[in-house]
Amino acid sequence: MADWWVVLSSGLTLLVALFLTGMPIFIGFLVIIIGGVLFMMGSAGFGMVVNSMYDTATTASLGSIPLFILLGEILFRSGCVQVLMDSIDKLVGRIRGRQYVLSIALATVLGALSGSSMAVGAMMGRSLLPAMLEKKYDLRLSVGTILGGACLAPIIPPSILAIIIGTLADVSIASLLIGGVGPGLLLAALYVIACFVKIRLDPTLAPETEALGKVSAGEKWRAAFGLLPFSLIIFMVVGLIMLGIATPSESAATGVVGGLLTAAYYRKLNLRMLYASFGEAAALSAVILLILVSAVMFTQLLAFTGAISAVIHIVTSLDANIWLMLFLMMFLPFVLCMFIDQIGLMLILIPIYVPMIRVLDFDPVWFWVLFLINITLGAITPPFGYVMFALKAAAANVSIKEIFAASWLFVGLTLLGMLLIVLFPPIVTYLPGLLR
Amino acid sequence: MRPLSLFFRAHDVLTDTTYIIGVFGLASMVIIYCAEVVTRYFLNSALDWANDAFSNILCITIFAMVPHVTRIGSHIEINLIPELLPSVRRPLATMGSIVGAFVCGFAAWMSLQENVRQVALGIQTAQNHPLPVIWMSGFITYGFASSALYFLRSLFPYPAVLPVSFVTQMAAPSPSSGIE
Repeated sequence: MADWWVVLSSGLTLLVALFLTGMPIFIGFLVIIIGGVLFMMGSAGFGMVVNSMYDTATTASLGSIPLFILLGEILFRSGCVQVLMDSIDKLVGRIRGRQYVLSIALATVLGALSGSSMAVGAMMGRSLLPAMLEKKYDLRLSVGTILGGACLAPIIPPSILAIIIGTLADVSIASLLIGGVGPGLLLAALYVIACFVKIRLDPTLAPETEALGKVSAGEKWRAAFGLLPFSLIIFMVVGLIMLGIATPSESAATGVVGGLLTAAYYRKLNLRMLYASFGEAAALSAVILLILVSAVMFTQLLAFTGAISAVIHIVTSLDANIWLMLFLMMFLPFVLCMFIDQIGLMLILIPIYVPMIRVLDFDPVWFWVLFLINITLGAITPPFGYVMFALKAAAANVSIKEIFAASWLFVGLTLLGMLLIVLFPPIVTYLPGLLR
Repeated sequence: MRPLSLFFRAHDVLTDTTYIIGVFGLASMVIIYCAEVVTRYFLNSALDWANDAFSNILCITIFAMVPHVTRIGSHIEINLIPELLPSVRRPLATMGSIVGAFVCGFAAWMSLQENVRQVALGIQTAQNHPLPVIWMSGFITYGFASSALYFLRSLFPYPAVLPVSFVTQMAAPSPSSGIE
């Protein structure tokens, strides 16, 4: 058999080349898998490929992916999210720059209900951005808060990306999900602080007085009461995992029931919406899980080539500073995510990183949450951040140039957040520690 | 109606049928795990079949849905080169369909070989209540075979060949969905 590095480098190069042609990601993986198996084992390896696919497709923990997607579908399609927006709007007080705070607070809560940054970005771009611009808020900062806020969705549970990472890296999915809570809240706080600092330095960024109808104490109570059904969903997802009552997949199912109850409470439940939600969630899950089914086999094939053990050997013999290694391991996806789809990149890097973090003795939950934030950041990093394109599609009158320019402040703030997580690991590890 | 056209309509109807299976599969996954949580924590009696049934239905749901996803062309792709070079977009799409048809067809053939072996040896799941593996793995073969046919059909943009659906809107998922 050829040297492992020849197999690894030619395999990865071909895989990236296939991805870049625009063919479906799962087809790219299958080409490499079938070619690799034929090259290394001949037709005797075909049964192994099929059985690997079957094993992955019957992995119960992956069932949380369709269920979390379904939860988001029900909430967005039923229109419950609009109720949520109105309630939070009433609860944010009369402060200068309140729309920025509203934007970030809303994105944080939406992130706790849906794992999709594109959904949050598109929705806020359609509904909140026009209101912010009408009230003379600064375009760049308004767009930035939406981009930054949307970025929180895959970090705060429920997070599909965390489940994919947990599955491929063999790390507790419950710990990864709960580990995202601290960083999500930290980033939200950093974004709000940055907005206040910017307004302080340049008061023209926010109107001095916003035309705001008087919100009575009764209305505020009603708004707070209106948030209760959503709190129930968050409890049914995060709370049940934290209390050890449900596994991530089970909590996803109870979260769906919470979503259905919420839609019923607001009289937005109907058969047409349910059929569309279930159909779209099942279809989207098939897209993701088919890629995952292929990627797991790719990982097994990498191990078979001897590449994984060789990477371990190299990292062990390098004797490099672990912080330098951490920097390089984060810098690589940060740069590549500017040009390559996050999911594709993630599926390539995870099997290579898994043995490395064992050798470097990093806490797996801490490392993979950092990696998750880094990967998520790719969504708002020019020139190929898909949340920026979703926002552009939702707000046609805002130029892509303005959206690109708006993103950098929030990219910088997220990097600052990552630095804080590196310096203070309990931001990630404290809550998962309570699970053990 | 010509035989070929009839064949394609039958293919679309089969995809619609498995789409419905996928929808009910997802609904049953919700019900099974909620029932499991309720019986385990309120009735103190876990369902010994829940996890197994959930896993089996997950496999069926994924591969029952795959042909529909291929039909509407909503697999995740990285469109970097096609976006940057519009002149090569069409040839690359054609190449993608040809490779897709070949690879999915090959995967279906591999899976079929394994299905035959599973039936011949009577292989069952290693679960509390064993079931024939073919009940689930058969959907893997179906998912790839049907997708191969959709990739092939996408190469011929004639009205009789163009895919249709009787139970869904033929559109890719909206931006309100998405995992990223």
